Amino acid sequence: MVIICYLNSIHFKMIENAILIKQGAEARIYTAPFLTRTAIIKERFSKTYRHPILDKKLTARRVNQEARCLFKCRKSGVDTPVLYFVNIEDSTICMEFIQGMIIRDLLISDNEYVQNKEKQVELAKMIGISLSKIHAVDVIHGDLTTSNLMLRESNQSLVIIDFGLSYVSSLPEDKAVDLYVLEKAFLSTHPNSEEMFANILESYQKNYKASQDVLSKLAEVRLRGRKRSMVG
Amino acid sequence: MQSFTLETYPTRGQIHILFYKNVSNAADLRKRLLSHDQELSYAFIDAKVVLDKFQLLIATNDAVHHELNSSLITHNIHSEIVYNLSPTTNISESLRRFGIADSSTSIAVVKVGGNSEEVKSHLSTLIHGEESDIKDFSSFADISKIKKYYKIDDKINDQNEILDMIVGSIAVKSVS
Repeated sequence: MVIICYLNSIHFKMIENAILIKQGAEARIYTAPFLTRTAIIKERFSKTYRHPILDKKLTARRVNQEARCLFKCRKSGVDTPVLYFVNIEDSTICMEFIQGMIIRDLLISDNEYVQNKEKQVELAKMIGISLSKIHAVDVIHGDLTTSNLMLRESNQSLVIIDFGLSYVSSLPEDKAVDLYVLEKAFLSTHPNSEEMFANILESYQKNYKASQDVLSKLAEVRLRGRKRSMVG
Repeated sequence: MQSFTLETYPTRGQIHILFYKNVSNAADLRKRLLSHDQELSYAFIDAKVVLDKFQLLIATNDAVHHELNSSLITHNIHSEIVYNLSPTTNISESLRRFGIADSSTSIAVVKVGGNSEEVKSHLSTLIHGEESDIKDFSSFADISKIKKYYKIDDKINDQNEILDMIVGSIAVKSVS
């Protein structure tokens, strides 16, 4: 037993010196110095309720998918954290540490945003543009909430983070559900934000050629909810 | 010359990065590399395609990771560094584009492990050229070549942004 613990500690050398900043259901988030910069380390842990072999395979696939989607978005011109290092063996991803504010906090407690309608419209426009860009390259984020959107301090650009549930799909249905998830998140965390969400959709529509299919699907999804009916 | 410790694998030894300009014997070095000369256990990289030391560190970190997981794709850790710099998985193309050519006059060198003084004195006997500060990489870089190799949009001109794209391409290579 002692030997096993010792080996583990060698394996996670980097995490040993890292500072835990968040723990979620799927992963732990650390910050640590990394090759002259500061990095975020996202470590997916094993789920003990799953069969170990299956768990290993699924986790490896998720890490792989997350890294690919993250870079694909960055490449298409959306501001996302820069990918530094993917370690499939230890289920960790190292990426850029973003200095900035989380949109959720801005909309709740930053007076400039709470009171100033113009600021909100401007922000909604940026969100719409970023979403149109990721959907244009067929990336579905999978967990769009205001906690997964940030504003970079240095240049005030909108950063999309946490691609942990993302995947690639060209179906308008999947894109519509992506928007629907954001709408739900928006309206439940920020009261009276209907107007702001409408602004997001407007900017999404303007900047994305195939938006018509997605928006008409969105109307359908609104009526029935996120899950597709499996009847028939 | 500058030496670094990888936070991920601190026990693998120090990473030494050096930069030589006005090099006159690149053809000779390349010939020796091709004949697997054991004395040349260094990664020799054409400095024209290096924008920053961070780019080299990311490729080196990946190479060390592959070495320790016994998943090296090329012969040794130093050729793996050169291979990792390339965003493609074609080995000969990667080595041709990122390794030194007969006509190279500026060379970046990466060495994994070893004592910094010994590395420096050994390299000074191998390379006929002037050692320069590794901060100078960006002024020797051929941006249009870099953009072509890493398939970076021509509209992107900010050096930090180009570096971010380079780093991402190198990192995503291990999962594509």
